[in-house]
This record gives sequence, structure tokens and C-alpha cells, in this order.
Amino acid sequence: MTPTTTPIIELRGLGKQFNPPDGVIAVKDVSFSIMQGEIFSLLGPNGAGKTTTIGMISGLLAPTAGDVIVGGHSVTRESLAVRRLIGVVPQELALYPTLSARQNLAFFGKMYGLGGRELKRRIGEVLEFTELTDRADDPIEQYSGGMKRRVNIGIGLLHRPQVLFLDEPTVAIDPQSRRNILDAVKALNAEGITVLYTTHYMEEAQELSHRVGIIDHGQIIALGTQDELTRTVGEQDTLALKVPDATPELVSALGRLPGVSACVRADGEDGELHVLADEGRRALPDAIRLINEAGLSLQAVEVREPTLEAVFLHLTGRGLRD
Amino acid sequence: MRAILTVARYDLLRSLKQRETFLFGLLMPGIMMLLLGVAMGGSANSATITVDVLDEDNSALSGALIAALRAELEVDDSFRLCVLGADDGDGCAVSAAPDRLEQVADKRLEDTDSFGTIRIPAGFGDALRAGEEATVTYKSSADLTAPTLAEQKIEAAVSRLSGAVAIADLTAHAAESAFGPLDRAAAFETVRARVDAAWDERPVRVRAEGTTSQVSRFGFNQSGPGIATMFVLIFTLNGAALLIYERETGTLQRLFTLPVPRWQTLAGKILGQYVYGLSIFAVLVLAGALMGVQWGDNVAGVVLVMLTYTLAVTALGVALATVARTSAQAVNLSMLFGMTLAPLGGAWWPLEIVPPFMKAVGHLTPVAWGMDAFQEMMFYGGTLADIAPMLGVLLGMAALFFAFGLLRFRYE
Ligand SMILES: Nc1ncnc2c1ncn2[C@@H]1O[C@H](COP(=O)(O)OP(=O)(O)O)[C@@H](O)[C@H]1O
Ligand SMILES: [Mg+2]
Repeated sequence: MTPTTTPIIELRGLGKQFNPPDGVIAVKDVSFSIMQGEIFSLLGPNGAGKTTTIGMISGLLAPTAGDVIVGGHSVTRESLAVRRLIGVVPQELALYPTLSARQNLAFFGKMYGLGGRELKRRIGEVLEFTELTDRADDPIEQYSGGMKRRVNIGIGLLHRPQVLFLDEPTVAIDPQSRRNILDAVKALNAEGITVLYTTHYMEEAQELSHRVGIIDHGQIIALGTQDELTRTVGEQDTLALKVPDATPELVSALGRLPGVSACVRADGEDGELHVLADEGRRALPDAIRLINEAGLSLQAVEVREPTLEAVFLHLTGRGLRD
Repeated sequence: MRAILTVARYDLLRSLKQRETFLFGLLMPGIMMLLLGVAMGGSANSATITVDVLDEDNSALSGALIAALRAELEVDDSFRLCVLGADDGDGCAVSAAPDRLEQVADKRLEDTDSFGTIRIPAGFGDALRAGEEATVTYKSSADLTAPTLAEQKIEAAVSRLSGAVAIADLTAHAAESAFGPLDRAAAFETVRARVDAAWDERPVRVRAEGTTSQVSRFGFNQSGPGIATMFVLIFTLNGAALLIYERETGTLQRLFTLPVPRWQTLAGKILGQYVYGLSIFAVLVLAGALMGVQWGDNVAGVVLVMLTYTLAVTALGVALATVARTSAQAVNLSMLFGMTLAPLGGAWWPLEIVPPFMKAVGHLTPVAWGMDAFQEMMFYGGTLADIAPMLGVLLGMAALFFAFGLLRFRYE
């Protein structure tokens, strides 16, 4: 759906240090707003602080600085009111494996305060939506990884939350299940649910989000629509080179070429290298020479428009998966 | 509030789905109760003590003594008299040539078929009649408290008989000097029988109570409460592992993002664990009763001990959950605690047989107080007032462990 301009979540100077005063500072002075009706992605590598941020917005972790306002309620002072508005889908599968999907949903539904016919109807709808109706009464431990992920999401939907938090919901599952989940997120948003989605896959952020916040080392380093973000990269192109068996030496040599700001392995596809260059075509001959010298073969070349990954590369000099 | 019950209910549901619950929670303790109970002397009924009688006199008076012995010893099931060489329908028929009976008696003592032999020597009746000294010997295997009790009872029987004989003799003498010659033997016997019968209606009786209880303190009466308290301890402590496991898998964190106050979620977890421990306790108490454990008549007392003991060990589990770092560690700790606190607290053997220092150490555990309360009711007919101190200590321990656990519990 088209996002509104009314903020539903406002992070205000949010910070978290574990085990103060010497512990890890996982989130540092983060401020931004999420508008009602939008899909907002928090994109960042592992350990960037995505889960910690979601933990604080959902009232699980107490911030050590700042506050979050959700639907007009402060998370530090009115935690319960906030928790009534949100649905949380944790990164880890937080389910009871010996119980069936229906029993898991019934338990969490009751904890959300649902009961009787209303609960029964919602369980039915959620099972339908997650396409688990057929297996609803089998213990979850007998499910595939993708099915478990779907139950994990379904629980967060039971009480029709205004905002849904999805923390890396596609990690370690097959492409088919990933596709289903991305489509489900869009469908939920079309019904009016605001979504906060975290991921370290730039393709997902690119496909889903109205706006993206890039987070690294606990800080937001860039925020805006995809157009706004890719514009910050300027005239740079991404050179996609398919080099099977590329060595780490080759990757770093490519990154040091004149006019090239970084080189990383692309995630997903095997043997694909992404070279961020001021002018892709100029850098190509040098790149081909290096590949030949290394005794490797170049199977395909493509010059691409800047992506979110390029933005991350540009800002940090690292790939999202490093 | 509804959330507390929901959490407890589903925790219970998950616990009951676990096959280990039945194996380790019910089957194993049941088998241990049985084995330990049989090893320590079997059922309360077979704890009846047999005392042999070797009647070498075979006179009317030796018969009277045996009758008196029966009256003294066989008032309840704790003693049984076995007259050797006589098939007199006393349920034990030991026959041998008269000159070999003494050997048989010694052999039976050695094999612990009997706990003592009362020997009535030949000439006993005549000596008694003649007003001479007549001796009855009692040979026992010095063991436990039972033989001394038997000795007391034998003495009572002998003095009863000699009293009757003395009175009968006096009366017969008096009658003869008053009325002239008469059949002294018949007069004697009539009076003696009268006096003996009067004994049974004597106005003053001393009833043995307290230490001379008739309920066996071994066998199933030790293994029943012992095994039950131990397994309830192990199982409830294991709740610590379940709680930590939920934190490891993230379900606990998920529960804390629901619109339910944290204390309610935690209270539900504790309630679930408590009810789980109580159910195991209840089944083990019933299983024990079927095997022959004599829990006593104080049903309310037994229930109160179960309630307070399980509360104390549930609280200990919560405290343990804040000490263990991983669930695997918690499982090991609960096993370790269970296997050390149980014997320390007297679950494996009665604390009366350990040195005073170890007895004091044992009473730092809830197990000892639970066992004390059970034994108070089983062996001494303890009332609610009698077990109130033990219940109080258990409640105090529960408060202490809960305070420790809840103050230290990490939510993040
Ligand atoms: N409970 C915790 N205690 C201490 N450090 C933590 C804890 N949780 C996360 N961290 C640290 O905080 C940082 C951010 O972690 P996290 O928010 O999980 O990152 P992300 O979800 O983006 O992968 C990491 O350095 C991580 O090691
Ligand atoms: Mg994370």
C-alpha cells in the first residue's frame, strides 16, 4: 500500500550497551521514523545491531539511551500498550516443537487475549494464510524449515497487529519458501500493516521496501528510498563478473585497481564478483588482465546500475556478507 | 491473570507429552521404591517378628505360660509366636524329634527365621507348683529394638503366670486349712484359671505408645517417602533447565514481547512446574500405598507436606535457574543436587542411623523436613500440630529460594 506521512514508530536517540559500563555498544544514537503503511527495511551485516534494535522497540530489551514511541506510547514507560500494537517475529524459531501448529497458535493467541470463537477463527485464517491447514495438527518438529518459519510468522499475525516486526525471516531456507515469505509480506502490507523488516540480503530490501535504513556497527549510516540511496553512490557502476573459483587474492587485487572503490563476492550466485568502479567499462580491461594472470576464466560480464549493495560498499568499503 | 493459567496449562501439556516423564517420573521411581523397599525388609506385614517357643515341659503350666505369652505378644501384627514341634494351628509347623528341637531353634535364629527362642525347661511346671524357682530362658539375636520389646513382653507374661500361681497356691492352702482336705490340684487349677482370666479385665493397663510403634520403619515405609521426595526433587529442579532452555531457544523472549506483564509469564512458568511436581508426587504416593507404604491416617497432613515440600523444591529450581548458565549445565546440576540432597536429607536411609553432625547437615535440605513430617505421621500418629514446625520450615525455605531466584532472574 502507499505509505502515509504519519509516523507510527519514532526512534529517538536510541542506544543500547550490553553489560555497562564496559560491554558491547550494540546500538548507538539511532533516530528515525517509520510511517504508517510502509515497509521499512533495516539492512545491515551480521552483528550490525538489527536484532537489538527490534528488541528495544518491542519492549524486550531496555534501552540504555533514548526512547521509542509506538502509536503514541513510549516503550520505556508504557511497554504493555506498545506490545498490544505490535506483532514480533523473532529471528530464531521461537516455537514449541512438540506441540502442533494449531496448539502453538492457540497458546500464543490466548496470551494475546484472544478466546472462544474469535480465537478459533483467527487460528483458521492464519493457518490458511501460511498454507499450513493440512498439517496443522502435526507436531512442529516434523515440519520442514520453511514450514516452521511460516508458523513463526503466523504467531505474530494472530492479534492483527498494526505493526509487524520481521527479523531476518528468510535466513537458511530454500528459494521457494523465501519467495512465499516475501510475497506474504507484500500481501500483509497491502492489507494496511506497517512492516519493519530486517535483513542482510540487499535483494530483499530492494524488492520489498519503500524505504531502507542501512545500519552498521550500531549506527544508521544511510536512510531513504532506494533512489535516494543509490544516488549517493554517484556515477559509479557495478561490474558483475562471473569467475568460478575466484581466489581471495584475486578479489583483493581487483579492489585495488585504479578507479575501483571495492570488490566483493555477490551473495547467492556462485562465483559472481561485484566490482564498484567510477566507470565500469574503463576498469574492465584491467580486470580481465588480472583474471587471466590468475589463470582463471571469465564466463560473463555485466555492467549494472548501482544497487543497495553498492551503496553499502561505497559507505563502508565492505560487502554486506563480510 | 488468565495469562498465568494459560502459561501453566501449556507447560504442563508439553511436560506430559514427553515420554521421559513417564519413564523417569513414574516408572523408574516406582521400580526403585519396590527394589529398595524389598531390600530393606519388604512390606510392613512381613516385618512381623517371629519368636520361637521350645516347650520341654509340656505341662498344664507351660501351656498356660504359652497362652499368656500369646496374649502379651500377639496383640498386634508385630510379633508371632511359633511353638516348635507342635502343630497347634499357629500358622507355623516346625516338627522334629523332641531331642533335636533345640538345634532346630538355633538354626532358625541363625537364619533369622526367628528373632528369639523362649525355652521352657522340663520341670518348669513342677517347680512352679512347688513354689521353687522356675526359669524360662530367652535367647535372641541382638538386633534392632524389637528383641528388647519382646523381652519386656515375655517378662510380663511370666509375671502374670507366676502371680496367678502364687495366688492359686495361697488360696488352695487357705481353703484346705479352712474347710479340711480337698482336691488341692483341682482347686489350684480352678483358682489359677480364674486369676488368669481376671488379668484380661484388669483395671489398670499400660499401653505402649511412642517409640514402641508397631509400624515398621524400614521396608516400604522408608523407601516410599524417600523415593517420592527424591524424584519430586529431581523433576522439579529440572524445571530450571526448561526455563533456561526456553531462553536459549528464544521462546521466553517471545513471551516477553506479548502484551502480558513479565511477572505473570514467570508466575505461570512456576505454577506449571509446581503442579507438575505435585502430580508426580501424588502418583508416587498412590503407587507407594499400593505397594504397602503406610502413609498414616492423617490425609490432610500428607497433602500439606506434599504442597509445602513441592513448593520448596520448585523455588529451589527457580534459584538454580539463575545460577546455571546453560540448560545442559542445569540438567547436570539438578541431577547432582537430587543425588546428593536426597541421601543427605534421609531419602535413602533413615537419618536416625547417621551421626548427629550429618543429621544436622541433612536438615539444611527440604528433603529432611519432608521426611520428618512423613515419619511423624507414619510412625507416631502425628497430628497437624505435630508437623506444623516441618511445614513452617518448608514454607520458609520456599520463601528464601524464591526471593533469591526472582531477585537474580535475568529477563534479557
Ligand atoms: N545479549 C547480548 N549480550 C551481549 N552482547 C550482545 C547481546 N546480544 C547482541 N550482542 C552484541 O550486540 C551486537 C549487535 O547484535 P545484533 O543486534 O544481534 O546484530 P544483528 O541482529 O544485526 O546481527 C553484536 O556485536 C552482538 O555480539
Ligand atoms: Mg539479528
